[in-house]
Amino acid sequence: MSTDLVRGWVGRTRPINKYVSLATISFRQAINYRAALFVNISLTFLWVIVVYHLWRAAYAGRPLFAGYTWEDMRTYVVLAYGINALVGWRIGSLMMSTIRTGEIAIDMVRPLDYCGSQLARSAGYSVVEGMLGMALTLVVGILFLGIRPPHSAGEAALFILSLLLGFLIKSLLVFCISLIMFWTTNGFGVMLAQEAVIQVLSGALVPIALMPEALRVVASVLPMRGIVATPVNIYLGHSSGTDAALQLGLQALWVVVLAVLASLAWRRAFRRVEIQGG
Amino acid sequence: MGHGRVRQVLRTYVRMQLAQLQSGMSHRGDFWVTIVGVILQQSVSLVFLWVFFSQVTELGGWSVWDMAILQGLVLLTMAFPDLVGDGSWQLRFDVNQGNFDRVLVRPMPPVMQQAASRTAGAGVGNLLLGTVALGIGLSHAAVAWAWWSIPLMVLAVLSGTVIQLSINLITNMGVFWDPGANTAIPTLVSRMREFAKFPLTIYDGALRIFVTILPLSFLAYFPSLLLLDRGGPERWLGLASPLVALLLASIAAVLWRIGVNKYQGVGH
Repeated sequence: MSTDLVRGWVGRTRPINKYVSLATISFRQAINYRAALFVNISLTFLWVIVVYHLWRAAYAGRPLFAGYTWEDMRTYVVLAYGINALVGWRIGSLMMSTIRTGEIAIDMVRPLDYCGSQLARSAGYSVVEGMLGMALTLVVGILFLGIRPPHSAGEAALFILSLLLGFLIKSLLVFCISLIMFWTTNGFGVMLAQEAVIQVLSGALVPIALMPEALRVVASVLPMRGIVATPVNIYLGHSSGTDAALQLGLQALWVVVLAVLASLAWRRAFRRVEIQGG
Repeated sequence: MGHGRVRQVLRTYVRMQLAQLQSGMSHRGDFWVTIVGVILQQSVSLVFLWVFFSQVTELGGWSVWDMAILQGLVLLTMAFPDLVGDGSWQLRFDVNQGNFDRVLVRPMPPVMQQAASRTAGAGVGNLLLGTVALGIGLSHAAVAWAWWSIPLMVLAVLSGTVIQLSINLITNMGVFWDPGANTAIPTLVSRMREFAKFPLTIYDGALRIFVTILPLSFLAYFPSLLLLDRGGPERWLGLASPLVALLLASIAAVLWRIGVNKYQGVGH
């Protein structure tokens, strides 16, 4: 072999972390589905537009709702939908179809942690669908809907940290829910239910502070609030200093709890595996 | 087509739909999972109303009960297309797989066969939720009851159903021209009905015109203005819903004729 050819070798020379390569592969797959990306973003915007107009009408008669000014609220609406789309429809349905189609058999013989590899794939998709969607949401939001930037660089940094914890919370939740596919083969219905529940309890639909008592209590104690409400409130400066630290700690705690739950649930589900056909 | 023929086609159509529903229900667990999922999905906008109206008492003159009527009507116009004509969503798949050949050779109008080729259990969920929302709304809102109130609602739901069926068919027919067409555009267009769930007056400028001509306002907004005896002269557009439905259905029919003639098969 000539030295030129050797020098031209651009493949990997050292082993890359297994999970990083899984994430890279799903990242490349996601780039191929531009139509899905387009739909994902547009559908997100559809609701943003509706909710934006409803709140605008409400603020015409009053300056403040539960401490949110109109500027806060429109920023909340745009950000909340962008963040909720970080872990989108396709990540959930892919996790489910792995189980439904029996593809899981291959995952099970790999020397990888099943939950870990699903999270890695989810991260790859999120970078393309979620981040791009969110970037677009922010650009449109700032240009046309008058949303405001974060107060300070420190707040922005805390926001990003909170966003990452929120990503882990939602991915772990979606993972746990995807295990239901061991008991039913109807992923569509489960996906619809999951999206709806997360949309409400994460605070993506409305800020938790505005909810009627009963719903507010439920939303406050469940982990879903860490997906949307916590990062957005940090961004808006509604949660800062000690409170912000407390909220971030709570998010981290939920990540640990959900990770333990996920591995327990997976162990239980593992015993149910029956691969159809072969 | 003679009278007997029309009856025979309709009877076959109903039978095909029932068969679809039956096959869906044979996987009982799955069937109910879908229905629960759909009910939760559509409840999201009702939850929004609940929270929103815990903060404000009215929105541009609309109370929470008025809004429940509006949303109930929209949900019903979503329910029937799922139940009686979900096959439009199957068209892309059927054309690309060559299944559409079968539709063309059987002795029944192809468009009816196609529409009947699938039934979405989702319709049952929307039917339940829509009826409940409409019922609650009607029992609390200040409805200007008259002899024509009920016929008006029936007419609105029927027209709305035809409007949605036509829109779904038109957007999904793209596959006749471009076999690579995906469901992105049809999905997006059909999801725009979210706009119809709220009073037109909250939107402004271009968006208001867009929602009106799409024609989402004819689904439930204009008819509910008449029902609630509210709004200016534009409320009379509520009576135009059947005309809009007829217009859209005619457009769909013409496009269908052109599309089917364009269809080449996949080469068996």
